[in-house]
Amino acid sequence: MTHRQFTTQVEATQSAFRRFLTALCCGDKELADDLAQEAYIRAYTAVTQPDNFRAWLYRTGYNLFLNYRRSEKTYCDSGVLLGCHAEQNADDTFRYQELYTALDSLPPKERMSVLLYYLEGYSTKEIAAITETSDEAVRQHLARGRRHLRELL
Amino acid sequence: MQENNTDTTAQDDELRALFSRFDPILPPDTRFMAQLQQRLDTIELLQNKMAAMRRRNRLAVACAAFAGFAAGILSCMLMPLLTALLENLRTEYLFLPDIPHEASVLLWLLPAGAALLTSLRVYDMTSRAGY
Repeated sequence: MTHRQFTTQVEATQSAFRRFLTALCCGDKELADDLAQEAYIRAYTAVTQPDNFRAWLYRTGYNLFLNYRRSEKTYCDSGVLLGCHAEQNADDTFRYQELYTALDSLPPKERMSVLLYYLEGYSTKEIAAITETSDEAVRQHLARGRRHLRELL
Repeated sequence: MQENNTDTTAQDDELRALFSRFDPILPPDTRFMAQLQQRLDTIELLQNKMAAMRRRNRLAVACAAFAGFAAGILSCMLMPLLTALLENLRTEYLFLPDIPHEASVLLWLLPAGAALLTSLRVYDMTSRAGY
């Protein structure tokens, strides 16, 4: 992939990808952008280019998020995040506080499946390919995620 | 069963509607792209430097191999002269003990040592040179 082709891919995907990562990180936009940048860097330096760039990107973003959680050993806390955001974004974070709190309560796999299905519009089969699990497992994650979100929202 | 399916569909629709309204205000795209471009430029710079270093190392190895081979050949060609010189010395100075045959084999360490030292020296000089 040439530099120009890569830049075109980034411009086409970055908005939705960053929005997805913001939801995955429960509103931590700085972290979401850091993870997004890291995922794009890995795509650029990959020895072999993936067939499905978008699916690869989301899988990498998810894996980076998991690595971050393991290394930090902290959980997204909407209450703490409110204090960390710039003033102009405080209203924005407050607007989605309930959603972020609900997402924060979901285990990573359920959160990922729910976001890919409802936010990004992927089918269960596509989600299974991205998360490298079975279709049945994705359906179970979605069912549990739906149930948890119903209780909280 | 039918009620459960209806519930699930209703929940589905609610969640779809909820996420379709999800539109957080992200940091500007231009800032994101500028930061990414900066990191990509740094990576390209590092990759170019590493490629240059690999080229320099390959050249250094080639020069060292050639120089070592040449030094070894030259030393081997000088071996008969060296052996003759030692024999002359022994003839002139009778108190010198006979050189055992096995020890003369050790003389061949000289060309080997010359080749090795020349290789190492040329490698050191070539790899340090600014290309």
